[in-house]
Amino acid sequence: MSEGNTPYSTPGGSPVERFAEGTAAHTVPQGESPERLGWIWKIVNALLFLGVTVMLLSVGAQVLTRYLGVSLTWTEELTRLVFQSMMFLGMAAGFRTVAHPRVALLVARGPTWVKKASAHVYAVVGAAFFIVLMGMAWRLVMQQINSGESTPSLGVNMYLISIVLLGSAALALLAHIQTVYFSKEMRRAIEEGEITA
Amino acid sequence: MSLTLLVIFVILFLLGVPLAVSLGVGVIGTMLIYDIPLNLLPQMMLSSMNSFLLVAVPLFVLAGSVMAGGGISDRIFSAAQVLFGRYRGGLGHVNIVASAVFGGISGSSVADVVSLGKIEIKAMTDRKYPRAYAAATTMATSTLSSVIPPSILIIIAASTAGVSVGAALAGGLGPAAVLIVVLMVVNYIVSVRKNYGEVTRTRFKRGLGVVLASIPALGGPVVILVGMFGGAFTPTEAAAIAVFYSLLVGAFVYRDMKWRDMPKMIVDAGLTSGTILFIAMVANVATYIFTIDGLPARVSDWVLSMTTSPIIVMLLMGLILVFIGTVMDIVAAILLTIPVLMPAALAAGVDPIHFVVFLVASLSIGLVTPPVGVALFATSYVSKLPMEVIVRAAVPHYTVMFVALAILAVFPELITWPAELLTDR
Amino acid sequence: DEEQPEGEGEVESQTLRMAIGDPAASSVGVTADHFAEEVAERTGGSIEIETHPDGTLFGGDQNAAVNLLGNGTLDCTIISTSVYASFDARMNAMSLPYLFDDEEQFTEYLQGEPGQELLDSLESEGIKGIQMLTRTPRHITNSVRPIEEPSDLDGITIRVPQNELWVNFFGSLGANPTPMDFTEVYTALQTGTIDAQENPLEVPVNNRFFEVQDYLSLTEHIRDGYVLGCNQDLWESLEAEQQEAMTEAAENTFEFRIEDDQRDVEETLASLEEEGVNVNELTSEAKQEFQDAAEEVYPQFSSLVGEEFFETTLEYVGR
Ligand code: NA
Ligand code: NA
Repeated sequence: MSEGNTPYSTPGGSPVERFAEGTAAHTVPQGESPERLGWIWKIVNALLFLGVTVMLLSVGAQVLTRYLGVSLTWTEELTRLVFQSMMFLGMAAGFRTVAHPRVALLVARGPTWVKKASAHVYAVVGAAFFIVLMGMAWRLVMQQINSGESTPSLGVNMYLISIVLLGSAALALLAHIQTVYFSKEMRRAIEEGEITA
Repeated sequence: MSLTLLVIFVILFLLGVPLAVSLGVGVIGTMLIYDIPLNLLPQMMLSSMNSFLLVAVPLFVLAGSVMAGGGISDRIFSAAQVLFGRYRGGLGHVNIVASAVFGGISGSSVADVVSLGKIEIKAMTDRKYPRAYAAATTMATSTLSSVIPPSILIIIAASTAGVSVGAALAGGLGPAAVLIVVLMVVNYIVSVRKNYGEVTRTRFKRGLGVVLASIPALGGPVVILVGMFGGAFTPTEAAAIAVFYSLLVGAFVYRDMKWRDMPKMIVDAGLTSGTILFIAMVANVATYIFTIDGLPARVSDWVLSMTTSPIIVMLLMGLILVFIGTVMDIVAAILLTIPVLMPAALAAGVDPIHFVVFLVASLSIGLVTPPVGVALFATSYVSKLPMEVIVRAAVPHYTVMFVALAILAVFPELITWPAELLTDR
Repeated sequence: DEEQPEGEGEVESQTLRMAIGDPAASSVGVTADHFAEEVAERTGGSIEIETHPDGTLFGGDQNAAVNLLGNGTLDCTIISTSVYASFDARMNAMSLPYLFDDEEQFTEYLQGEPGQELLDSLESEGIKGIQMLTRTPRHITNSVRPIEEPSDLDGITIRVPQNELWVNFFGSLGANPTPMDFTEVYTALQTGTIDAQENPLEVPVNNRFFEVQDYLSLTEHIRDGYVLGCNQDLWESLEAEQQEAMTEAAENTFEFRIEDDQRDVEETLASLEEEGVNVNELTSEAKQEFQDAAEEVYPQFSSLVGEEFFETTLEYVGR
């Protein structure tokens, strides 16, 4: 995809593109030291791969078996549970490439000190949100372990899904720290406001 | 309460904090100030994603990548260029029609943008439309998916309002037609005046080859439409069928599909959807605060204190709904606004089907309107353009969409006529 | 300053939020409003209940509502026993197909010992179960033929909740029970993806399913109830008289609901027949056939309910 005719291109495409190119086997951008804790994100990618595949096959099986008159009765529930988990993981992984939509108008036009400050604001506000979310998700996990909430068809304990949310909040927190303080490239991207999506 | 939330939200997003995080911190701040238990946060985030309907989002994203990777979209848009490339703005019109057909299937503006949008933007930029204009067109046309039958949103709205679902679904054809017309007019005028897009003529023999080669690709929507209206699968399930069909055609008919690209496409589908839906997760918590604060009720009182003319009431409601659509999850917005706004509309003498369909149309326009339209985010995401660039390019589209809303507010027949024609209402 | 002595002068009025999943005009909505009025009256206005319909306070996710009620985010709710079954398997017991001989037995079950045991069980989740409420039985609507005897279900694709009770029961009758998100049911019935759905009468009526369904068979195959509950800590913070007033208001609401439902059903059936919906009731022989078929699959449900309460329940209804 060519971006050459827009003033918003950066050499080598946006980080989203660079990331996308390296998803299957994550490659290190030139001039950057290898990503710390890269193995964590490899696991996240593997889970996303597995989860989306399961959703696809489960919905497919739902259509096929109903058509054949022998409906599987757990497909809807399975799809929904996996979907919930995947969306939280995907949300967290989005922070690794600073892919979440922002209004970068003021930041991108501002003087250097505004740009510098905006990266810290980005990190601090994001961290605050995900730390609160982690704390509250933890309480929910405890509540659900205590109440024994489980799904009607597969009997999956609901605290497992809340643990995914908890883990995703932790991953998002990690991604904030990595992008702002350990990746020159991502840091610049945040300061320039170039990746608003 | 609502004001506190909105103020924190606006300050943070102007500082460059991601919108969903800004809204989330606005919610947390409000909960702390007004002593609302923070337990709400994870629980509402979980319940926002506890939805089978939303499963269509990642699946349509995947379908979009497979169609691009398998050479399907190339063939569709090459054929479109052969057929319509001789006219100014031809591919822009194709973009509109594509959303009417595919978006009609997905029933979701976001799914429309993330699946088809990527392809549409690429096809248009390849043929020398500016990327921003391609993105703006793609975004504006996504509103069609919310109103063209079968629209899940209209079903939810009609059942919440207690009006005929069948009539409301048929009524959705009214806004769809009006939107298609105004968007085509805009596309024509802008393309001609700014000289957008390549005008090409293809010789008949070559052109015939290109068009014939596109038939398996165009079979996708046919299979899906026939399967869906024939009862083989539901609109959400159609997303998975779209993936399977595109895989088959890409791998065995065109043979462009590279299996080693699949893992990346699948991972990206999860990543993209999670990123796009983050705002919906947080909006679910914000909805709680707006609800206990009685925001919709106050808005309704205010409307009725201004006027009782049905036309002016509808125009005002259109504005309010577009605004609500920008800051709130659309399903939550439907559930919240119908009980509150509908009595005011009925009191002013508005037809209930007219109101319900108009409401969905307005909210769907809210989805593409800044600052927080989810479909606007999605467009920004797939086009990799900053939102403000897309918004600027879409000024003509916004203008005519608001004109379209005004037309729909003033002429209820546009909605009630198809409703009466197609059902025995 | 010293605090005002309680009981004298103005007691500060307290507003409780009651969250429900159904619309305000639905039978649960009307019930919640009735309860609110009764409570206001019986507490002399010291407790006001504010109803929030359409699930807006819990994102439309009823399981979330139970958690939020348990941790005190929500004050009170009216939620179906089949939702609580995700938290306590015993709540499944009353939904055994064709368990009760008639309406009266069902009412007694809810008011009696088994119902009380279920209410008490909620305490472990931080919920004060104040009152069980009835719900009208589930019926089948479809677009193929009237369901007059079990064999009529043969080959019918029917949307059911994802719960063994439904799946095994309908499966044993030769139907094709299929799961589906509720929001897709209207379109699926219209296009013929599914032939049938089953729900308490008010559901197909409120969701306009009869625009796309020809037959309503009053099969009364499965029942569930509602639990009117409040957060436990909140409940304990109330004065004894207030608790008593709320309990009485809930008991009154129980009676109100039965009367209101009966009136509703009569009116609804009359208007459906007028609209040309083909309505049929089961003959007593047919009902017996269904009941026999159901009892054959009961053994499969023992572990689903929990053996002990399963036996208690069967004993209570005399099976
Ligand atoms: Na649609
Ligand atoms: Na489009």
